[in-house]
Amino acid sequence: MSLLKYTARRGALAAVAALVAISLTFLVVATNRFYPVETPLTQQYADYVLGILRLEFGYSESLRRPVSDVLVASVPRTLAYVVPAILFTYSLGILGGLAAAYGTNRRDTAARLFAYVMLGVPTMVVGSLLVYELMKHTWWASHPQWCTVDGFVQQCWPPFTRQNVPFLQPTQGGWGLRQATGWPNTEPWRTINHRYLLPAAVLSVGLATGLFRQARRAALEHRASSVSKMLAAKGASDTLDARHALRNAALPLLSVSFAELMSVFTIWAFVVEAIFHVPGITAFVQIAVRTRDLPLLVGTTVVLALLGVALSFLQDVLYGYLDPEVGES
Amino acid sequence: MPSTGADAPRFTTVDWADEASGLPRVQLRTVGFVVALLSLAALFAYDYSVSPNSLVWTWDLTRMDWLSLLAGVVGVRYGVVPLVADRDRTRRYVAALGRQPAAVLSFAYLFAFAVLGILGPETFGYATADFTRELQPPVYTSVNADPFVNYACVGDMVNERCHGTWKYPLGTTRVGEDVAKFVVYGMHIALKLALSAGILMVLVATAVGTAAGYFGGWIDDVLMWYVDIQQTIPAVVVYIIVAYTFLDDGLFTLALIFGLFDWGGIARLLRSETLKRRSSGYVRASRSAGASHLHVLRKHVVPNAADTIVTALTRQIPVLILIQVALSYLQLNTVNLRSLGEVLTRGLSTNPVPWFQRWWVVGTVVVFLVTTVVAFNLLGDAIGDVLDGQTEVR
Repeated sequence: MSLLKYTARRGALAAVAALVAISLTFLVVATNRFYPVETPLTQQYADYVLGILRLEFGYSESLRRPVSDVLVASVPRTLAYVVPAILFTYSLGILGGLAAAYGTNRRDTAARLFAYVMLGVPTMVVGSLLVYELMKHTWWASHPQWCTVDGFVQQCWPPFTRQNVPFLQPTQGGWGLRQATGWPNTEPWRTINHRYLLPAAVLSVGLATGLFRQARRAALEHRASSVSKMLAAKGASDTLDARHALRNAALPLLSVSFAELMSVFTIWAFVVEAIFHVPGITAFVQIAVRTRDLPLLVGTTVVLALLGVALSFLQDVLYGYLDPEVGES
Repeated sequence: MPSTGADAPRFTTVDWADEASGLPRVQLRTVGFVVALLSLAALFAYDYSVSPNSLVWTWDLTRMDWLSLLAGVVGVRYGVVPLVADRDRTRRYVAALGRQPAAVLSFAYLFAFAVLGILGPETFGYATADFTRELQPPVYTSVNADPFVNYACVGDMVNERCHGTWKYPLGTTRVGEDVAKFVVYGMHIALKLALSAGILMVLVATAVGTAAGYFGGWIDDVLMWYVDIQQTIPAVVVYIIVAYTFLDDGLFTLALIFGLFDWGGIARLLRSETLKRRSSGYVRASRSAGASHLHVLRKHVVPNAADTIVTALTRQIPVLILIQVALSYLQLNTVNLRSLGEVLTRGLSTNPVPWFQRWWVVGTVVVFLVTTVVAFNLLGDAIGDVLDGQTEVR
């Protein structure tokens, strides 16, 4: 199979997955209407799908602007830390795995234990502690559980959850049904800048464990092979040997790990955006949930799902590029 | 177990007339399974129609409890019964696990976790607010009582420092809730979630993975296509949509959504495992002796994939527990009482004193989560080694 044909096939699959995601959200929209709609269901469905393709997601009552405006602003912010986080995760996991496999027995055990421990420490604890420390030194890190009313910092009880709306603050005036709510103190994150590397690093801490385990196992298998023995006999260093191990392990590392990462990645993205006050997509999912804003909820979750589809497609293409079987005719 | 010369060969003890009789033999375990399922269904029907408010006395079961009970019955039938029935094999597993101290420790911890999760909340009681007992430090530690207003120390006050007591071994929160009781309740929640979502995942993944690997062809294509599509849409997103439009944001929704939408990885592993075994000697022998596809799948393919299933579960369950904690931290998942995520939200706030002056609240939760994750993973490593070794010998 040629690379082109392979890419086209995976592209078709991604398109079907995107359509499935959109159709599922149509189900949500069609069953949660506030007003009766006369047009037949098939017509509604076609309009809905076409609307999403034209980036028309409706109007958000709680934010008082079109959902597509919100999405255009927030998607780059989410990507700004998700993409570095993926790179961090892969380099951390793979380098750690190789270091463990090529180290002494004791270093191996220590690295393995450390990786499992890092998986267990919740991201919100790491993130919150980091923000508390940064708050003393920088102006742009703000309290993860902040609470202001009319511009004054207040002690809220429960912490930062006035009226059961966690992490959200009134953007103007006091609280009330008609008041707009949003993430507090988002100024430092409105434009994409170098600070986005911080949430990326926090996000990747707990995620690297799965990759670490696979890289380590693959490297150990490689070390037991005769190729490795031959390389050692010819005087190759451990680094060169590790490069061979990595090239052979690249395919399983790419294919298995990515799908596994997806679910965990999403939930920690929610946490990271809440702690650092990043006004990204998951932040608006939370705003939509709290304010019962259906167009916003549907728009943000469709985009989250489509992001997942797009990242999987990229991973597929990379897989095809690395897989020697795909290039052959 | 390979027979030694002293044993009589097994076929001499089998009653062939009985084996060859036309009626299919019904095993005791099948009868027990069916009886357990039927009685569960009868109980549910009774609870649903006759007394919806309580089942026995004041004990009322939620739909999450029913799901966990159902999962428990399935788990006992396919997890515990085979181990009890085949004692020789179980003894070998135990011996092999016993040689690895890390595995023994992990198993002991997880066993205690399960027992405390089932019995703990009723035995030790639930955490309740008590404003006369706020911010007690854990036993053997002390805390500077200066910044606290209206503070009453249960233990000894020495030089303005309050010392912990055994009455609150892990300390209390700022409203006087016992942290130890929180952790026990957290175990209860985690156990229910792990059991029900885990069994759901295994059932679906086994059906899909083995069918795809065993039959191949268009069945394989269609099933793996579906898995591909499902894996691109994160289960967390599905959960949020379902929780806020159709069901509620409770534990039941979480278990259901993750059980039904987060099994793609396990199915993939099982498929490749089945592909390896599909053309192996015992499968071909069984087929040529006239066994049906279902029989081969049930007796040969699935039991031999047990190590894959168990190790995959030991990877998936800790992640599930972490996801539940994260969701309840964000208040996107609520349980009857406070879950560990909510304890973290409160513990990490600076109200009334910075978090590090009551470090035990966050510290206990983190230690509990880390221990659980490490124990599951180490046990998974060990089980993978033990069960895998057994299948290779045969």
